Amino acid sequence: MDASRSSLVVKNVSVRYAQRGARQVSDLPAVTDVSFSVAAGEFVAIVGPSGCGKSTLLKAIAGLLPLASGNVAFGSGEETRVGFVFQTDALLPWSTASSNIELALRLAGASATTARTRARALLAHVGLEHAAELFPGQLSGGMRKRVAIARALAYDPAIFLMDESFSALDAQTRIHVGNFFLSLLAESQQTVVFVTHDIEEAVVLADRVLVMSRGPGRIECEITVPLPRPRDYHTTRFAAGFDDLRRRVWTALPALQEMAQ
Amino acid sequence: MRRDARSGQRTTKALLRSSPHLASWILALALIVTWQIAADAVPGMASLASSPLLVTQRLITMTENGDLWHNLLPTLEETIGGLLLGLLVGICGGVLMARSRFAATVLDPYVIGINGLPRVALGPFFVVWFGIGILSKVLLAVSIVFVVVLFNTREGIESIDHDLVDALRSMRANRWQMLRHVVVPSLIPWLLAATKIGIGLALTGAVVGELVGASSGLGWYITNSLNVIDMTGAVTALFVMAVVAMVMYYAVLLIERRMLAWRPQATVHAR
Ligand SMILES: Nc1ncnc2c1ncn2[C@@H]1O[C@H](COP(=O)(O)OP(=O)(O)O)[C@@H](O)[C@H]1O
Ligand SMILES: [Mg+2]
Repeated sequence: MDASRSSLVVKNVSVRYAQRGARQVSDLPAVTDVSFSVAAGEFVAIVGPSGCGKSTLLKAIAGLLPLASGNVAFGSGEETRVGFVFQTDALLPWSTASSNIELALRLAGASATTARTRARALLAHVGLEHAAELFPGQLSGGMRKRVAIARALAYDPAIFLMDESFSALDAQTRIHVGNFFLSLLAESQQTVVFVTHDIEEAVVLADRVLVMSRGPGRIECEITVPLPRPRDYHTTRFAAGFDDLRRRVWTALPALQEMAQ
Repeated sequence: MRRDARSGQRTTKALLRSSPHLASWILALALIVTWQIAADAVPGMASLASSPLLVTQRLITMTENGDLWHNLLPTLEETIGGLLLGLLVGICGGVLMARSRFAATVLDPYVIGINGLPRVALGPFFVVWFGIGILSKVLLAVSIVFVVVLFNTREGIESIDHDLVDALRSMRANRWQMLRHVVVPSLIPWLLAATKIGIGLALTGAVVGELVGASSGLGWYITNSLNVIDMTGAVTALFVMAVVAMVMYYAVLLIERRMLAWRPQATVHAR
């Protein structure tokens, strides 16, 4: 397991979008000069106001968007496998829960039979063995999210990149799925970069919270979360020091600073 | 007594509500009966609009002497050929125009021009250019069908869920895997919708071509019958066309039910 965990170094990364206007193609910066690093096995959350470039940054790290400048390096090399979990579950709607996971396994090089048995085991692992042959449209939001996490696990990533992965869930389901994710991490100790606009969620999950400025985003500051692990999503919110941490993140956010001005 | 009558009415209503197919058959029966009665009662009506009995008799003789098959087959070939070729051309054009901004900009005026053109007017041209055989009808059908397919393909490609593409890219899927797992399944509902509209359009192309110039086919049979004021012949051919269109439509519907089983409900409506 240890060998499959990767560190991450993001250095002076900028990303620009080509903006196709009515007459000309212009270039808009979405993320400017972002640098941070994540140790192997560390959980880093990135918070920032909506539109500040969080998704853009995460996609750039995953190699889904070209960098305008800077570079991204994974500790375990070029071929590092990235488990991307989207805000939408991004499951293929025409494939059953099992086939969705099998596809990730096949893309990671498994044979069809191995993929089949592994997919079943993973579904059992996320408590959904009974849903194996159901289509995403037949599952609840929480179930879909668990399938999406199982798919990311199936790909056996060295690092998880998660974009507001739980924000589409209602409060109770979020605690449930979040707790489930925490317990998975307690086993595998994966490296995680978790983007969210939910400060409470960031503090509950992360070892370190990075706060981004308004777009085009930069990293404003970072706040270390020294709360003990293993954590429970529900009770951690009432742990000593939690409120203080949450307040520190809030005050670091540009929205509050602007209001104070 | 009144109460009984009312509850009787209510159960009939409930029965028809619960089985709209039954209601559909009953409506068909009512129309046929009305048609027959009108043909019998109104003098001269039968010679203008034939009658269900005459059409049935004609269907039987046409089946026995082989006229039915002889004229049905070319129309079927033209319709199905035009539909399939129209799908092929439309998909290729749609993919090209969705993938290449250059191609889209260059071809857009032509597609829009062709779309606005009443293509049945091309029928005489096609018959002159491609002969009175099956080819001119297939090409006329293609010219009508491909535009719908092209529009739907473009729209389908543009509405592919970008998160699905990113999800597979993040798992390092190659082009072929992306095509097989994301692009093709995303397009299938759009293409099924285009196919359903395309059936009627292809049949129109085939029959118009036959009306203009042919030596067999249901369209030719209509012209031929009208030349000798044989209304029953013309109406019978019309009826067979309607049956062809319905059978093809329901065949596509069946395919759709299978292919779109993942959808909460497997009905796709055209734009
Ligand atoms: N595909 C795109 N093309 C052009 N601009 C985009 C695109 N995606 C996002 N942007 C712009 O980049 C900025 C950052 O967006 P995003 O990364 O989605 O923010 P966040 O995830 O923090 O809400 C926004 O101003 C947004 O409008
Ligand atoms: Mg976002």
